[in-house]
Amino acid sequence: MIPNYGFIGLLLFAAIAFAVGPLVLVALIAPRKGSVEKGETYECGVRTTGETWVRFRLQYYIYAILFVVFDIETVFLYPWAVSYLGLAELGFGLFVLVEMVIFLVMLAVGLAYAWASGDLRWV
Amino acid sequence: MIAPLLNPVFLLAVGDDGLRRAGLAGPAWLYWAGWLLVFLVVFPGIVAYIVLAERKLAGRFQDRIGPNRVGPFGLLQPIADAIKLVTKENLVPRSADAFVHLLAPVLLMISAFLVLAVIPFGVRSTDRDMIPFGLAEAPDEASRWYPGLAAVDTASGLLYLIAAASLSVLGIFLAGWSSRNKFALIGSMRGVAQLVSYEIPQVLSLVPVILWTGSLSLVGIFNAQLDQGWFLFSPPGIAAFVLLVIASIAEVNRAPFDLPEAESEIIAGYHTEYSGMRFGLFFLAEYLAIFGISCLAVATFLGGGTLPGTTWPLGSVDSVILANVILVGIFGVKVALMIFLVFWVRATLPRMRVDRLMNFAWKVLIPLCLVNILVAAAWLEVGVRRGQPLLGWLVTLPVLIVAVAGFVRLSRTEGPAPVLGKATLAQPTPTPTPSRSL
Repeated sequence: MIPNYGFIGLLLFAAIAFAVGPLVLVALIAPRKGSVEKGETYECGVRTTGETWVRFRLQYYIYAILFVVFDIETVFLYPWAVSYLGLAELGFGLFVLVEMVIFLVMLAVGLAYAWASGDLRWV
Repeated sequence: MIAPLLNPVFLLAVGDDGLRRAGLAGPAWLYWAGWLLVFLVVFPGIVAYIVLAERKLAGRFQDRIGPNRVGPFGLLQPIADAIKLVTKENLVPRSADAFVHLLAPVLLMISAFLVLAVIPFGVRSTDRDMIPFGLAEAPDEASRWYPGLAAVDTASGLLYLIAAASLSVLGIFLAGWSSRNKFALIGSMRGVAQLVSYEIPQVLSLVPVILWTGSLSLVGIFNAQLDQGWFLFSPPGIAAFVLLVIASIAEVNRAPFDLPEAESEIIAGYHTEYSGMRFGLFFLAEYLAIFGISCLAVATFLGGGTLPGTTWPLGSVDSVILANVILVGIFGVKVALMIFLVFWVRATLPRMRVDRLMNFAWKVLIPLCLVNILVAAAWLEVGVRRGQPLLGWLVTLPVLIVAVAGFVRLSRTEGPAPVLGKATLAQPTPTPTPSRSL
């Protein structure tokens, strides 16, 4: 049986239409009096200097890496959580629980390592 | 896979299956058109008045009256705002990436819309006539589900919801990056770091709910709460609910987590270069997202449209329409209370400092979520499966109290963050060399 994912596709287009519709209306009725000043980058009236798209600090990258680690953890945790009740009914409750404790401890060690090495510290 | 989705005949054929199971008469397209109407008219309408409610309440919190000029009690204010927004000139900076600049608010809107697709607001039938996902057949009446009144009812509901919600990170980053404005870029970098960090506690705090339900379906979660009582009513449930609310407020960039748009530091953050209707789209998407996470919290922890300790009106009211009026009404009241909580928090707490913000996510919320998953498993074994809630409270509550106190203390051991470039600041240098990295 295919669930009704079709509506999600429909909703996607509805959301795009809902966002683009008013913009079309704006293009039709709103005034268009562009000028050099209006096209400037807004920095509180001061003329912008230098390049905007610069390199950012490594800190952001470390958080991104940690995020990926924990996001993948979620991918493992969700199926475990879904199947726990059914397996517990079959008598595997303790086994499944211990398995997940081991998994969580391994991740906790990873988090503790990042914490201890100062990677979680915002500088 | 995209091609069949584009085919309206395919859409209608799939929609018909859901209808047949629900036992509702009428052509499939009517059902789909009805939901589209709800999404395109009712939800934006609700959101428009949420904005008004926030302005009114913020006024009261600050000892002002709030908007009261347009219509009685300012009730026509949202309409006036909409007219103003569409008649304002659309400004895009010359140096901006024009297409991505347009794409960003649209992406945020898509994310806010898609989240609401799986929320069950009521029931499609007052009989337990739905076979739970994953089962070929239900052994008896009690193990069947009440079919939920959701636009899309799928076995992977919660996973889908989280995937849809995390789309907003892209919108925020693209908005700041495409504007080619330093303040917007700082705002969006902050936004990405914050959303990515708080997404983990948001996702992990939902694991107890899945554990107790044994399903990712939000309809299944609603039915499990009919059997077990609200998921809020246990120590791990309370902890998970609080964690979810905190992480969700951060996910929608609300105060005290509104650093991506901190107006006292970086103008307006990632939407600095947006004006008129494009800014209006950001605004609308943000409030739609608040509405969405409030619905999520109500559906997962506050028992959907039921009252605590009872399944009324299910089981006593036979009329589907009457039951839905009651369920959706109670659901709406709970969502309103959740949204009021968000406004209240905004009026009460000052904005957090960026290092404390990241600390709080990684050193308090995430470890607590991990502990809470194990506590939730213990509660399931003792409080639910063995049927000894009192013993469950005695076992789980002390663990959680110790964990909260421990992680809060531990997160504070490092002291304040070092000030970058402190050595150069201390010596008065006439011409400081400009740093190229922000």
